Amino acid sequence: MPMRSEESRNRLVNLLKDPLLLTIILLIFALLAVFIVFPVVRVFVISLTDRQGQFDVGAYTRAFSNRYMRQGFFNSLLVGGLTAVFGMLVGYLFAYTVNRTDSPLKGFLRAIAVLPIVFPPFVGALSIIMLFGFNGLITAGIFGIRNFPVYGLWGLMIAQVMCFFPVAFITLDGVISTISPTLEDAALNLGANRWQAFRKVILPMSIPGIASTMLVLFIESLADFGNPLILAGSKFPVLSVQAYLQITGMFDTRGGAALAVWLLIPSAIAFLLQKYWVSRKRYVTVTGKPTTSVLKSVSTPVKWILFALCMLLAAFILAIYGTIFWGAFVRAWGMNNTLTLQNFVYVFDVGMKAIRDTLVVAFTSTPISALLGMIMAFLLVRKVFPGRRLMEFTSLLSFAIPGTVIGIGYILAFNSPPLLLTGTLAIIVLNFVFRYMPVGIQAGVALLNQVDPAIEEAAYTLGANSRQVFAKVTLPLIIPAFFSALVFAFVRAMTAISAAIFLVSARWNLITVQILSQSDSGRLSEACAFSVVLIGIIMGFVGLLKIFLRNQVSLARSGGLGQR
Amino acid sequence: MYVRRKWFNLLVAALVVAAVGIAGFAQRLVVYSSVDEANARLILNAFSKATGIAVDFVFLSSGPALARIEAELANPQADVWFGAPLENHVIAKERGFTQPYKTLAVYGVSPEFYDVDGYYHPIYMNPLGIGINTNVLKQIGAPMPESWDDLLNPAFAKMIQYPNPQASGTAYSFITGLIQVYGEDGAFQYLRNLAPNIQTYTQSGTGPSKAVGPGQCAVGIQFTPAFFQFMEQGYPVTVVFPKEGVPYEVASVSILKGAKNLAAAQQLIDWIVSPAGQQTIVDVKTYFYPIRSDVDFGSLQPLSTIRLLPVDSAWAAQNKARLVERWINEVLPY
Repeated sequence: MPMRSEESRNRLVNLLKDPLLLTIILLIFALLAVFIVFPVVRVFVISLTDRQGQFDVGAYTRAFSNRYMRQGFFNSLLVGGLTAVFGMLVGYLFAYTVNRTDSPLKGFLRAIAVLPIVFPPFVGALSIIMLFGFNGLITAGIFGIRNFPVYGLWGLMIAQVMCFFPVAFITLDGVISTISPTLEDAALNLGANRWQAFRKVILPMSIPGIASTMLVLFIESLADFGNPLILAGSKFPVLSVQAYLQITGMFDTRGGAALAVWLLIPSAIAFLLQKYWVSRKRYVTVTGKPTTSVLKSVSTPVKWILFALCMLLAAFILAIYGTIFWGAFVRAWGMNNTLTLQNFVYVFDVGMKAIRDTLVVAFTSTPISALLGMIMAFLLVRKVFPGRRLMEFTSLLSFAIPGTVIGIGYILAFNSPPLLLTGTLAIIVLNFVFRYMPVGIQAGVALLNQVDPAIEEAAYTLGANSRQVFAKVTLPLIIPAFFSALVFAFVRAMTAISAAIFLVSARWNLITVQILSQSDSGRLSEACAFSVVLIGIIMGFVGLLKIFLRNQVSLARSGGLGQR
Repeated sequence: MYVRRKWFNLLVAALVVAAVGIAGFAQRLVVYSSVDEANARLILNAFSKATGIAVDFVFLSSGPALARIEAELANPQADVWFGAPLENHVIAKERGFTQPYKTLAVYGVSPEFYDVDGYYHPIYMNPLGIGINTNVLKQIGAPMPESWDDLLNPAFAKMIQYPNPQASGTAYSFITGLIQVYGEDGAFQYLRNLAPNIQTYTQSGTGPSKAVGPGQCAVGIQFTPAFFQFMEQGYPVTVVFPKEGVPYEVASVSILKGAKNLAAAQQLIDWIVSPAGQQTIVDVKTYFYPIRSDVDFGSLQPLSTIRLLPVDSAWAAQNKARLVERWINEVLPY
């Protein structure tokens, strides 16, 4: 005990000796308090008071006693759990195949694995109905089936897994690509077969990435409402949609807020389970020693099986996007297949302002979100300070709450001095920064847990301070996580709808609100054209980012860090 | 050279002063529109042309708009809430979100459409209708429905969509309309009998048309503008108004309490209720029905041929929570 308390005191003294580090930690706590805790508290308070501001738990008793809401809660857990499992499996399949086999078309598979991260709100769900509905191109056109249950759990799971597995892929791609092949070589040399090498070496070392990924997928699926709104239908309620409907359909903000708080409970439990489970294991693979390998991790038949599975999934994904493109380039989606560019003329006429506004918002929030995510990952994994776990948990809060409710929380929190932000660019940017930062944090945490602290300790020994270590050593090592954070933040900024719908104003509007409005008024092809523009912008950004960061990665590799 | 620069500076200064002057005198109006973006754009652009008032608007469907207006009460961002059914504006009035304005333009408008206190004013009305995809009708071998009872035909098994009343005023209007046809218990019995024919209860008021248009279901029940939009684009959709009678919505407009551009807001109300404003709603093909009878209805089916069921807005608002709960408990499980 004396030794422990002395160690704690030493750490605190070290913290105080580094004023820059201390300042950054305090600044981050302040930011989290203002832009995450404050709005969440406003939501919580409103769920505990009546219209006159008196304490009242009626919203909760009504929610918990309602059989339909309890069904919604169970369904949310079911969909969240299934999305986490299958999304992770699909993501792992793609990540493993492109990193551990010499299959052809790796570039194509990587592109396909990232594409669905751009899943246009509402139109994406409609395209699934176009493929699997009563007159669906796949169900009716290919198989002659007319009663596939596209409305309900099946249709929703197709959308959720497709929509969220790219998040898993981006994280797991970063993780698997940094596992040294020499470890498998050692296992094979010691007599293990390929399956044993995978099960005993690769799989355990992927666990931090797998756990982080499943946490993010579970939480994000719980909070998602765009896909369930269209595909779940009312016979299969989920709480995120119920929260939205309580507020927007029944004009009951308190009831919706109570449901959102209810939805936070499984997210918090999932977070704690993940922390307990993964924190008991530690896996270090990046040690700075050069490595080479000529052996392959899988046999030829297994390679082709994995490749075939990926190609099958790729065909499915391309069918979804092909349907959307088809809608965008014909006069009337599903009815009049005359080719036309009129839908795009409409987009660039009616929607030009929304496109410009969306780009401003996205380019402002993306670098802030990603960089803040990397800094927080660095602090959480490499520094010991009071409140570290609280910082991580807090950062996940606004990610876990349905966007509808956090959007209202932002209005309630920032609609009066001293922080008067409603109607401004800032309120949208800040919402996106803090709402989508967690994926960057989790990706950074997963990667950093694989980096031997000795590399950074060597830099400290040579006289570097924390800022220099972060900028020169840590950030280059976790470039894959930084890339995934940038991609994710940009994509979500471009495709966010549920919180954004409460934060857009006459001065700042977004493409996604246009998509919703066009599809609501029956202009499906115009909605598809907006979606194609959205996809084009995002793919352009990702392409440019890859070109830029590839140079960075090349520099890192030429420094002999031996990632392969 | 020095003299030339001096004159150039004077010219620049004059231009700056002129620009500031022009900007200073221009009138603006900020609108939350619950009329969909495309139609709101058509109507509000016509208003700008007629009055010279520039309009900034953002689309927020009815529910998000009301939730947002409530949340922003301390510092309103908009001057006018444009669109959304009349019942929602009644709620906004009761909760103190709006302010009154008596317009002289109501002469010629039916009294049931507007508030005598002047808190909300009608823009247009929409009857609830049945949208039918005629191709799908042939595929399933079902007859053309002409009444609510016709929809109970087993030939329509899993081929009908209507919204969840929890999600939208559309479906709630459907329920209150059926109550006037069948009585309350009769209405819920009808809805239970209809349940085997339901493909899905959509979670937005305009969900059914998105499935009817592309042929993924046969029949949708919702307010009719989106169906007419699909027809205009060439989809094989037709609209039927059941002979027992149909409820309708009145989309309304309110001036928000604390509106910063009050004079411009009042002008919008004067214009939208006037014969010129109402004729514009028809002429720009919104497929909304005008609330005045003294305008030309164009291609819309005359209201005289549709049996409209009267709406008791106060009763509907007071009983909404109870009736929606009853629907969830007694209809949804079937």
